[in-house]
Formats: sequence, C-alpha cells, structure tokens
Amino acid sequence: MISRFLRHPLGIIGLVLVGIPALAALTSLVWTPYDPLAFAPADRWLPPSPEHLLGTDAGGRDLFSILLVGAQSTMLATLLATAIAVGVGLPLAMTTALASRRIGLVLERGIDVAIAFPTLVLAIILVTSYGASLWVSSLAIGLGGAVVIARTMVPELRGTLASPYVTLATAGGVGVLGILWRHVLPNTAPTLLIRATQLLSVAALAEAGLSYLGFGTPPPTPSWGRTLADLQSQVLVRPEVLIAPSVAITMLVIGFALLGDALRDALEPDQAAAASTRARRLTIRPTPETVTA
Amino acid sequence: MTIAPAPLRMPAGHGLFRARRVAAELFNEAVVLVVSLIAASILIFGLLAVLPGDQAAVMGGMDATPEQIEALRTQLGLDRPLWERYLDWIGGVLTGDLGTSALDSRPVAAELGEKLQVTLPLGILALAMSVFIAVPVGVIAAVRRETTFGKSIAALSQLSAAIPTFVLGLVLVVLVALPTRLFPVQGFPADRWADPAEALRALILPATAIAIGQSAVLVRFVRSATIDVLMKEWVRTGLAQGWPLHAVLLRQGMRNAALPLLGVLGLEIAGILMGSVIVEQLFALPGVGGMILADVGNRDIVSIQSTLFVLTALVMICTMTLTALSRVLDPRIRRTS
Repeated sequence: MISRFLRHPLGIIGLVLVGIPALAALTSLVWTPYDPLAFAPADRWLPPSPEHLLGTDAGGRDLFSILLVGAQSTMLATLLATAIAVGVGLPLAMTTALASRRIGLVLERGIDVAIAFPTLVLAIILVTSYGASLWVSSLAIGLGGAVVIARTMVPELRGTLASPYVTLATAGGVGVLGILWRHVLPNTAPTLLIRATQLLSVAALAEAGLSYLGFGTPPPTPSWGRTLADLQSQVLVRPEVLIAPSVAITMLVIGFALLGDALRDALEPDQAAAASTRARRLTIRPTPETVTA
Repeated sequence: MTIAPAPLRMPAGHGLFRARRVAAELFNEAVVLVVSLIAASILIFGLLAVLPGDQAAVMGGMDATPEQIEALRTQLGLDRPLWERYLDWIGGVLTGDLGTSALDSRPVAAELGEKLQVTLPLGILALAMSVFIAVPVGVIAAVRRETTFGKSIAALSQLSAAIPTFVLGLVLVVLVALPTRLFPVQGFPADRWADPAEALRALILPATAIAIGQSAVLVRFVRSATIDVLMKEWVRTGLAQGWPLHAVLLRQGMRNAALPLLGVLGLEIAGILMGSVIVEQLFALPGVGGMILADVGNRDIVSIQSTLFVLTALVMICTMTLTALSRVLDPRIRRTS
C-alpha cells in the first residue's frame, strides 16, 4: 500500500507541498533569521535582499521569519481541527450506525441539519464568548467537520455492521465495544483516513479564512491568514509582499488535497480501477463494434 | 445488530399520484426545516447566554462595581429565567423586532436590512456566476476528458478550489481592477442602489472571487454528471440519428443533470456566506460581514444574536429548500422512507 502511494506522482507532490510548511514550522521552533516580533522602525518596507529574503513589513519585521513562525499556528490549527472532527465525528457516526432504526433516522436527520449550520456562525459565537484564539477557530472548524465525517462514515459503518463476520462475532458473544474495536474500526479505517486527509485541506482553507477575519491566533503571534490581512493595505503600493503568504497558504491546501487524492487511489484501488474501466468502456466516438452493432 | 435492508418504495407514478406524493414530501421537508430553525435559534441563543461574556459586564466596563453590574442586569432583564428571555427574543424575531443594539440603541432590524441590501445581491451574484462558470467548464472537461486540454481544465478547476477567497480577491484587484480601471478597487456607492449599474460594478469582482472558489465543487459535479450522461444509450442513439453532440447535451443532458445540480448548489450556500464576509472585508463593502465583525469587536450580544440567527435562517432555508427540491422533484430518486 505504501509503495502504491509512493508510486503516485500526485502523492509525492502533495507530500512535498505539505512537507515544506511542516519543515518551516519545525525549523522556526528553534531558529528564525530574525526575531519575528522585534520592531525595527528604521528598516520598514525594505525590499527583498540577501539579508531579508522577503523584505520587511511596516514595523521593520522580517517577513521571512514571520512566514516561518506563521506556519506553526497554521499547521497546528489545521491538525487540531481535523483531530476534533475525527474525535467527535467518529463516535457520532458509531452511535448513529448502532442506534435503533428510529433513533438512527432522527440522528441522521440531525446530522443533515447540522451540516447546513454555517461554521462561521459557530466561530462568531465562540469568539464573542471566549475571544479570538487558535483553539476557538479550530474548535469551530473541527465541529463543522465532525458532522461531515459523521455523515460519510455512517453508511460505511452500517455496511460493516451488516457483514457476516460481525453477525458471527455477535453470535459468538463478542460485545459491542469488542466488535467496534476488532472488526468495524480496522475495516473502516482506510475510508476514515482518506476523509480525514481531505478534511485537512478544507480545514487549512477555513483556518486561513477565519484568521484573515481575525478569529484565529490573536496578535502578535503570526499566522498566515492574518499576516495577509495585515499586508493587504499594501496592494496598491507594493503588491509583491502579498505573494509569499498567498502562495504559502495555497500550497498547503493543495498539498493536503493531493495527499487525500493519492491516499484514496492507494487505499481504494478497486474503486479507482472500476472508475477508469467504466470510463474506458464507453466512449462516444463510434468504434468499430458500435458501428457494426 | 443486523440491519435489514431498507424497503424500496414502488416508482412514484405520474399525474395526480406524483403531484400528491411531491406535495406530501415537500410538506415533510417544510416541517423538518421549521424544527431545524427552532433548533438553530435555541443553539445560538443558548450558547451566547450560557458561555461567558455577559452583556451587563461588557456595558458596565472594567471598573464597574458588582452592584452596578447587578443593577444593569436587572435593567436589561438578564436576571429573568433563560426560557423567558428566549421566548421574548424569538417572539420579537418572528414579528420583525430584532432588538436594539446595546451600543447605540439603534434597532438591529433597520441596520441589518440596510446591510443585507449589499450582502444578498453579492451572494446571489456569486451563486449565479459560479453556475455560469461551472456548467460550461464541467461539460467541456467531460466531453474532452481524454485530451490534455480536458484534463488540464479539470485539474485547473480543482486547483482554484485551494486558493483562499481573499487571495483570489487580491489577485483580481491587482490583475483586473488596477490595470483596466473597469471596476472599483474598493468600496460601494454611498447612495447604494440609486445607480444600479454603478452598484453592480462594485459587486462584480467580489462576487467573482467567491464564485471561482465555489465553482470548483460544481465543476467536479457537472463533469462527472456529464460523463455519466455521455455513456447513456440514448446519447448514442441521438448521435446515431445525426444530432450534433451539443444538441444532445443541451436537450437531454441538461434535463438530467439540472435537479441534482440544484442539490449541490444548496450545499454551497454556507460557503458563499463565509466568502461574502471575507470579500466584504477585502473590498470594504458595507455589508453584513462588516456589521457582524464590528459587533463582535464591541461584544454587542443583542445584535450578534439576532444577526447570526437571521443569517443562519437564510442559509438553512436556501440550503434545505434546494436540497429538498432536488430530491423530491426528481422522479428517478425513489425515496426509502
């Protein structure tokens, strides 16, 4: 499976695109070229140079250092939101799948409704009460993702629960928790892994949006979304300073999305193969067989 | 433990039977919608009331004595039981009274109405543009799916989904607004819709920024729906009869894909709200986004509560109506009750 993943060119690209910000975040824990918080009024708006790779901002702070440190909160928030989504969504899906038909239906309907409830509204409520922070924005994104995870996992879990080996295990006296742990979880883990990776990409995008609105890590701690919001006023004067943070966010989101696609192809090869044979089977251009038929 | 397969209902039939079934199911969906709206209002009210951050403490300021805050609480009616305050508020919302802002004692409804004049057209424009972008792109990507051109269109549209809305907005400002001067870089006419052309011009770039990101999901859907249609026997029959491909796609394919597309559109509404709030910041549009951000900054709970509920209700009504219509009107979907 890992070899299949590694042979996937998009997977490699995704790994690189995610790896660079991850490496930047780790590096910035121990080293940055300059102190990203140190003001140097004499150095404001320096153009890119060997000393300041990306130039400096209005406070004379080194933009490259800010970008490196910003990777920390962006990565952390993304991972945290996805962890919350899985941590809440999976138990919710399990309860729904195990519940009686009636209660299961009500829960399912509830999940459908919760999906329509905007994440942004939840974020605003939490920010109003607790103030903006990385935890608050991650919690809002995570809960929003949890219902999505739950909705995609319920049919998956039901399918596994209805399989003959689960019936056999039930007949053999294995408890519900035992069945979930021993049979259901291993069998649905690939799907969960794929959905979680795809969610990482959605969470990274949402985190950028929320921190752009000022709902993420409060100043002075840098985060990519807010750095961009701070630099936005320069769009008429020196638009080039906006390029690096924009590219950084986009890279991370695409990276996670590609990883998700590659994982899907590696873990669900039957489906990918089925899709491609179906696509090959019928092309609308008249082939010899269709003409004679 | 075992789950019995859900019983399939027989095909819906047509004529009066179908009309009756559709009416019954739409009524069902309406009941679910009302219940969901009540649940959403309880959630919004409950969270804001229970979580820390009391309106009285905010208004009293940092150096208010506990007695002063207590007096303020009584004055604002915050000492009454929670359910009474909820009924008061929701009763007001239903009669169009959204409360008064704690800050400047302006009625929230008036301010919200004013701001929605910008946000609603922006959202509708973004939704329409995302369809106008996605349908042709998706169809071309499907028809030409085996050529490099088709593949790169599909890849490019997925790429555009990964670019944050505010980055797209900035790119549009730098690449379109600044060189061409066709659209304002920021702002909205002060006299609002007095000159509709001018107002629309101010909304085009923001709406495009939202639409490009949202259309990626639609492109993926339109592409796979079109590929599905292309493999149908009746397309081959149509082509064999000498119909040009675009005619078959327009006359038959669109008819098949339109209803599911409606459902997918429904799921885009929440994203469009988020996008609107972001581009309103970026393009300095006087819409609901700026209003709610200011309210959060001032911790104006009354205004936040009512504005959030109105926005949530708008999103939920649109989303659930669209998804319900796509499900109920489609005779091919046999519902398993």
